[in-house]
Amino acid sequence: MDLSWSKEDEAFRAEARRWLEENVPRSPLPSGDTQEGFALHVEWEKLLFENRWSAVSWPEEYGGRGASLWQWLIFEEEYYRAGAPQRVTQNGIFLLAPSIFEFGTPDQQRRLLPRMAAAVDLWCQGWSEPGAGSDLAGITSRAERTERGWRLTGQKTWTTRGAFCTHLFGLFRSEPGSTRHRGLTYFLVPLDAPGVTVRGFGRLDGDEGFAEVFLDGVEVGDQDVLGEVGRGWSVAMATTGSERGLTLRSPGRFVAAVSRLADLARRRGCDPAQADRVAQAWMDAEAYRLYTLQTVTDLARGGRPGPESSLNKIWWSEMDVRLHETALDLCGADAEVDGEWMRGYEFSLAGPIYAGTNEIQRNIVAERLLGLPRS
Amino acid sequence: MFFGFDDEEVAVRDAVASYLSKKAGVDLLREAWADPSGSAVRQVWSELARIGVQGLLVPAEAGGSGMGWVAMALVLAETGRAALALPLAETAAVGAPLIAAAGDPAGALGGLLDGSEMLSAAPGFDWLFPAASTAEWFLVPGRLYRRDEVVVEAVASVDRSRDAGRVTPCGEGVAVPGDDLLERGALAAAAVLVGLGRALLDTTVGYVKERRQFGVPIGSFQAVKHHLADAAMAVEMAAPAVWAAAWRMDNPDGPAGPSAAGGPAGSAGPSAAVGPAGSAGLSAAVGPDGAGGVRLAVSTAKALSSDAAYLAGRKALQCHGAIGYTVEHHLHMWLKRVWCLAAAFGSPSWHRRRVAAELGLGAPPPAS
Repeated sequence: MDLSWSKEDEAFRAEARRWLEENVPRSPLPSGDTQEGFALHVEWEKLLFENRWSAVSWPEEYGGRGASLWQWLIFEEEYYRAGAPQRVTQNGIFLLAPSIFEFGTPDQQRRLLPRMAAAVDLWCQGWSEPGAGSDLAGITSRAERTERGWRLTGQKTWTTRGAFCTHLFGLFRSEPGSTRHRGLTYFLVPLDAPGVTVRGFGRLDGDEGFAEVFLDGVEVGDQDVLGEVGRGWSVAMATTGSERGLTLRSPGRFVAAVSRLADLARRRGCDPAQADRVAQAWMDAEAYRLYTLQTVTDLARGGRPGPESSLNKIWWSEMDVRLHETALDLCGADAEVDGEWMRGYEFSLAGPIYAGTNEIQRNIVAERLLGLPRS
Repeated sequence: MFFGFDDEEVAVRDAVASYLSKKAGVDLLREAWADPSGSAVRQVWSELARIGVQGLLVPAEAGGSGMGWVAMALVLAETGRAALALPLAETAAVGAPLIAAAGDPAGALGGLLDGSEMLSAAPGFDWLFPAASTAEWFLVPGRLYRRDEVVVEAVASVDRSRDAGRVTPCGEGVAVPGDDLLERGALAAAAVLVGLGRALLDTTVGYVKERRQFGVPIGSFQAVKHHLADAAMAVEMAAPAVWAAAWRMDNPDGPAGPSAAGGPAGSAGPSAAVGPAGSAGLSAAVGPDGAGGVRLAVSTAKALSSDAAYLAGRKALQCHGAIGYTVEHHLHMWLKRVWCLAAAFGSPSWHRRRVAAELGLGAPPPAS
């Protein structure tokens, strides 16, 4: 065991910290889940890309730095420590890209990844449907073979920032009559294609961060299929592994949040019961950081993300809710103000629902990690 | 950065695990419940000494193996799995290394390392001591007493195999410096609690796969699955905090890692407020070094592992149903050990108070 960072890693941290301190906007950008705020966030993403900070762990040819997973963790720590803007490119860079690296053709990798890193193509996720949420395999949106490719028909929903993005990745049923996990194909869909209608709507916080996407005979080509036809489920599961695991919510985010929480407690003062909750939040974030160091050590030795990623997801999402409830308690009567902590609380409440509800994650832990029988 | 174990650490852990799986089963534990000074229990103590367990933290020149805290924590977790009823945490993790560092002023080390004697320890005389009727040595911060220098009053612990007692000094004792007795005891208990939690989980997973109701294994019911998923999460999230605290004990000035602070740029992070300033290195610059870092790491490990083991115990009992609520089933011996160790060397809320104090939120709790 060696919990110290190498000289190279410390140098990487120093470079990231310096750049962020010089470049992070002095006053926070408006929410990236509004049209106006999204545009400003995209500008920020382009600045990140120009300085090769948008996807540090990617190979240089795609706009990254070829940084190790360790350095990626360090960058995340510094990013959130600096209070830098939310990543509106997150669904592409952290959720779709791992699948493109694993399943994409060389042509897809060359065509899609640099534009994604540069925030030219902005990707949103098309998994859920009105009738397929936790039961994701109940997807009914379909893809029909045509002479020149595929025709997509159906409806996707809860699509984060769908009203502002340019592309959607999602699952469609490509084998007529197939059921459940079989016969699904993973498609990459430009949202400006004829037949696509996107309707944004308000989330819990009122921002237009959600969208439903209607596809009415949308024509796409074979180059828009990721992985094998009919094997979309396995490709998608690789992405959800990233989503639940460390790439979506790295420890740096919670370490920074709990640090702001401790600041709040010191500034406003706190009673012993509140101090106890702040201490618990600090320990929970620290536990997640250490658990992640263990995970990354395993991955660096050639391990693959497994069902343990579901433990991650339950932990960080429930920790985040408690952390914000503690903050609101510290805010006293001001808790109701629609400000930083209330916004954060509203966002944290989505955590136990998105990326697979925590009920589904607990089933995965019980069945795949503990080996309990399926019901 | 490497969050894993080296070959030597894995080897000693596996040697102890293998020995305990053969010799320290439920029968031995029942025997310890009936008579904590029984011969079978003492024989296991001798055998552990032959493997070198009591001397893991004692330097080679003083007769130990000088392996370090990570190996110690791994071994203690294995003894927790077996709910081993011996004062190994007190002897190997607390007493022997402190006595060795003090130059063995009372000539205690030989008997402790060869497995002929045991040591009990506590953060003060107002705390309960385990192995009260069998230990030859009693250690409190700063002072070591021979058995004939103390008066022991037996206390009926809920865990009879703990052999608990109230201890009062009646002799001089000898000075054994070392102000980190509590850190050592707390971290050792945390490691044992991880093992206890894993054992509770494993045994319950096995039970719910076998036990059938409504014609199916009860482990196929979602309510049961979610109980055990919660226990698994708590225990597996606590474990890395224990291994990290073990590393930190041996590397007190090592970089704290960015976590210990990482306030938004410009704000006074927790450590900036309380940690010693001026250390080199970026991450060290934002986290408390030395004693503050050790306190944070140990308290985090102890609070998380205590709460995790408590939770695993409750879920284990609930999933066993009525059979778990008997002394005929062995589950109760693991549960009761958890309750004792969660209280030993600082309860979870005591350790959270210490964490809060390190964050600049209130005064640290009194040691006793």
